[in-house]
Amino acid sequence: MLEEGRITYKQLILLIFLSRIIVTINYLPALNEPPLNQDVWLSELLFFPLQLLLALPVYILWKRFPNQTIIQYSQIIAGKLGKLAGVLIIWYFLHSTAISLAQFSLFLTSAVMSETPILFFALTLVLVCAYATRKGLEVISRLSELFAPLIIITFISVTFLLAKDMNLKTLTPILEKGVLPVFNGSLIYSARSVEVLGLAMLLPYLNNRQKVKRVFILSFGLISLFFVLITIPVLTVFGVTEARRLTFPDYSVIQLVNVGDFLERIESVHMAIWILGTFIKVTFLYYLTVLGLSQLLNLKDYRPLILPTGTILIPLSLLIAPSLVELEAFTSYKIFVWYSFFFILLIPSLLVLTAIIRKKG
Amino acid sequence: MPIKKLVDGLNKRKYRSRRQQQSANDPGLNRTNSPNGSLLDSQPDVQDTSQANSDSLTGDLVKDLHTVQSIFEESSDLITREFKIGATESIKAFIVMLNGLIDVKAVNADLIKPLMFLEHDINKNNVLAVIKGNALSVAMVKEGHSFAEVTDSILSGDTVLFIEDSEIALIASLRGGERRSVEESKTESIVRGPREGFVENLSTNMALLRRKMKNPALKFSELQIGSQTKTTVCVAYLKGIANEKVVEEIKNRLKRIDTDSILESGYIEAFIEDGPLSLFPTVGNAEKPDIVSAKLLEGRVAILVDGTPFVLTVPYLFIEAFQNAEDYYTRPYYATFIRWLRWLAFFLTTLTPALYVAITTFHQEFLPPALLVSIAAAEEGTPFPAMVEALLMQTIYEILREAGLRLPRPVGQAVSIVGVLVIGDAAISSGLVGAPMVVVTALTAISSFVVPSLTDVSTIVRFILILLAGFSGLYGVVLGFIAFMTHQISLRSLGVPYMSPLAPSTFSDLKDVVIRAPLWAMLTRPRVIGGGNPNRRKPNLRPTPPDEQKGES
Repeated sequence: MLEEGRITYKQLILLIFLSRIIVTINYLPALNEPPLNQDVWLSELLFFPLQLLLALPVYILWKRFPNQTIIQYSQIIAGKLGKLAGVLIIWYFLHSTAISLAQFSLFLTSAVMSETPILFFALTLVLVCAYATRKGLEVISRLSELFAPLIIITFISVTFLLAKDMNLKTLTPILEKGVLPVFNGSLIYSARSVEVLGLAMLLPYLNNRQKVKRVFILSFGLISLFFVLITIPVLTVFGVTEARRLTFPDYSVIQLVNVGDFLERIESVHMAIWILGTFIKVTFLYYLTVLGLSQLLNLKDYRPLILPTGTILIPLSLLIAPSLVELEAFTSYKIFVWYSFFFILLIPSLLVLTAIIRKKG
Repeated sequence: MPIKKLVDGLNKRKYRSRRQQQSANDPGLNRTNSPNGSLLDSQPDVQDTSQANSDSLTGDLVKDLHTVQSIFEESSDLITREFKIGATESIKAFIVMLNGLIDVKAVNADLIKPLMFLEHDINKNNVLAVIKGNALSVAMVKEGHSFAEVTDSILSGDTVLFIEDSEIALIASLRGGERRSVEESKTESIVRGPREGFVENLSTNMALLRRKMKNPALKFSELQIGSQTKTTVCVAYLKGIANEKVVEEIKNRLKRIDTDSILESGYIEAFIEDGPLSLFPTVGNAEKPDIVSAKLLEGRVAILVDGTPFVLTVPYLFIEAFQNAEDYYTRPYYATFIRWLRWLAFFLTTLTPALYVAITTFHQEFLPPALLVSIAAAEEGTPFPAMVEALLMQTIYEILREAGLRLPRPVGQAVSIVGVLVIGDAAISSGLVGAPMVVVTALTAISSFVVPSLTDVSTIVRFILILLAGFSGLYGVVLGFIAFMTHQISLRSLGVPYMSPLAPSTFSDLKDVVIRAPLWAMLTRPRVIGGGNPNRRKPNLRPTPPDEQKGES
């Protein structure tokens, strides 16, 4: 077997959780998406059931092929076409890695160290990620297990520290535009979850088969709650109109923390968290890319692929997003959602249908 | 006969480097080597003699004496004493021993005297039985059949009795000589708890452990390592509590060691550790019997090495550096507090200079205004950038520390005075470094002593992080932190993940990591060690006041 390591369901939950939430602590695209008003947090709560629904094909596929990843069983189900599906999925992983990398370095160049070239951040992060990827799945999941509590505790305490600046009235009126925009919003958020395919890749490496349902429910539930935890301070401190103008809403809100004139300027902590979290996300997707690729090519070891993939990743991330404007244009919901749905919903659903029709698995 | 086994083992594994070394040293000898070549390959004269006599004793006293003397040629500490056994009918005999390794009084009183004045009918057939049964008032006596065995015993400090016409020599263990007595440990000083520390002598150390645990399940399994030093190494574990696989693995790793010398347990550590190139130690050491006993009781395995008071314990986890014997002897609240303080101190000592450099160089906006102003004022006139300043101060501090450690005590004081004046005062007043940097250096230095077993690690980590901070600010520090974490998480010590029970997390083991739970609440041994018997004590041991109604009697 390509990957000998086994992970616990807790580690998998935290890995999925960290990978999904980390972008929102800086970019928070939800503010500029339907419902476009103070009901964002309702969409974020509704995200949970919708995401579960969207992940259903992956769950069904896992039931049929509990020991294989999506790259492997797609070939069993659909033969040559399945191989094509594998290629597409790997491309999607690679593309998501590059997007995360771009998001990472663009935040650092624009918000923290404006004189440092983007290439420096991309290069150094990919080097560290390559090192972690080389160490394998067990190490990646243990890292997420170590970093997740740090991140959760930080954001809960930030929410408490900001409590005096919050104005809960900004959350009213609730359901101003009705239910449909709220629903649309949650659909968009769930479309952004490349982690659904991540589950399709990693469920075979779970050490306890009984806990798969729990992995789905707890990870998506946690993500949904954390979205709310991030959004509420932004919404209640700035109000939705002002918050939408900010490039990095959560970063801006953390800059406002000031307790007794000594606990202030804690955005350095935010930045450290951002590096920790994005490291996990990039490593996770990077790992999925090389693992998928080596399974597609029937290699015995994925390690030789790490550095070549890394050398593709860096120029790719610079290519797709030379600046924040271009990054936001591509990742905005009008384009990205359809692009993403193709991979995380359409391909697994087609695989399920084919599997049922051809009675595979 | 450990040496026999070792010789066989050594011959089975011929390492290339060893062979090369051998042939480079004495090519002629190498060709004539026979099965027990590796044992004696460094002593060509011994080699020849033992070959000629086919290694077994002859019973011819003149021949045997000659053989022994030629084995110990040019060893002026060899003592041979010829005498006659029995007051009436006498049989010739001689004893051989090494000066300084024996207890002279005991040899005189318990060996020579009873033999000389033996009033028993002896003849050549019953001499061995009579001597063992009626004459030798020595507890440890065994028989030696070959010169290799006898030589080994003499070198270990035993006294060997050769008897005329007997092909068996008697080996009496009357070891003595100058030794350090059991004293208070210098490296692990405590306020409350047993003070005795291990000494250099292996049997004393074993006795110290045995005194803590009066239990036959405490096993000591010995072997000899080192072709030149033949150091006795002893694996200690509690049968039924230690993980059998770990014990086997350690024994295998020890048997694999083929080296010329073991002078300290650090030598053993270098040959058996899992991350040989890692910055972090994956083998622990302790100098006190109570600590080693506690580790054995948790299911770990100890390795005692003759000639050093430092006992190795494996598997060794990162969190063990933050546990201290005294934590368990004091009450839980303060112990927990101190434990948190150790974590804080560790992060301070590794991160403070790096964070200071990063923030003052790259991220001044992260500082609260008041602090920013005072730091800026202090650093204004200094000629070096913060990174250079930090590296300079850290290097000077490390030099002072090393000088203070190695110098004789009276000179050491001079060093500290120079250090205080030069670093503390003159450097600031002459405007070479800023005052905040001195504060940071002092904080770093003090904090590094709170977690003594990681002092060397934290020094290196600190320097690396300062460099990263100077080149890429906070980003570099965090990335460096991530890289170290990735490395640490991927480490294993005898199959146990180095960072457990933090990652992979084992909730029940956190009772002795995040907090120090009361002893009655710590019901299980650490799960990650994976021993056979997880339960430590009965539940419901929490003391409660006697029932008020019943308590009247």
